Amino acid sequence: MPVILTVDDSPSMRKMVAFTLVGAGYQVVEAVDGVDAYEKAQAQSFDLVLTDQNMPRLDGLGLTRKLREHPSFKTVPILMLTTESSDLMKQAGRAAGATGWLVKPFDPNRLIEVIKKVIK
Amino acid sequence: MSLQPTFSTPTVALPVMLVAEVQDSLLVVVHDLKRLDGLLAQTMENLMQRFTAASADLSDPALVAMQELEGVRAGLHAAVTELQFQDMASQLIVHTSKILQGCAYRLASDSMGSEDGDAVPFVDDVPDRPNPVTQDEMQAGSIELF
Repeated sequence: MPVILTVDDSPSMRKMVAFTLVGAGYQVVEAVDGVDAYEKAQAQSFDLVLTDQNMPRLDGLGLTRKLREHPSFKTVPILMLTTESSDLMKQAGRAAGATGWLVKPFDPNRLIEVIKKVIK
Repeated sequence: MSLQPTFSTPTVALPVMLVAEVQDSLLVVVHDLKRLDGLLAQTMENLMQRFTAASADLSDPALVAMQELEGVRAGLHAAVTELQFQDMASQLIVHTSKILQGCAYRLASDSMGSEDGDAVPFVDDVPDRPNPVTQDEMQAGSIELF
């Protein structure tokens, strides 16, 4: 069963994402911000990271940059799931090493489709 | 610290009482927005409990085979998109609150200074970029793969 690390400082968003992913057969590990996510990423491997952008302590772009420096996360898909929709932010996400950019709110079926597409 | 305006553009003198009233009003609005944010968070927590309970009930093996419940399951699944309203609303409220709070402190700083003669410290967390939430409706957002 593929394991997905979901990162969001909003408890309701974490629950919505977990509900969707678990219902689709994925195992989910939740993190409350970038620092928490990075610590969890060092403790175990993941098949995909789904992260918010605007979070305290370490945002999604910062987390992506840090994960890409980590040998085990060089090729793991990292999807940004955020309210941010500007081209500037998307370009920053791409430069940081993100695999894709999803703007909130997400549709559960489309989210699963994208995850199936990028996950190996 | 000097209380003289530091900008060279034309200035408008406002009565101190008017500035104080505007500042008070701004801070009241900030306080109300915080209450609204708290109410939304509490409501969302309750909604999530009911959502999780309903979802668990529908997963009961005795009900899984019931075709009559397919519509209910589909409705619950589709509600995931709308149930993200609190995250977006909260970000909007926090951003707007910080701007209003910044305006209130700026008014005090530029117009009155503090009681001991020093300027009121300017709040340092005023957003320096536009609101990240630009959505006008709760339709699913765009997806872009790089």
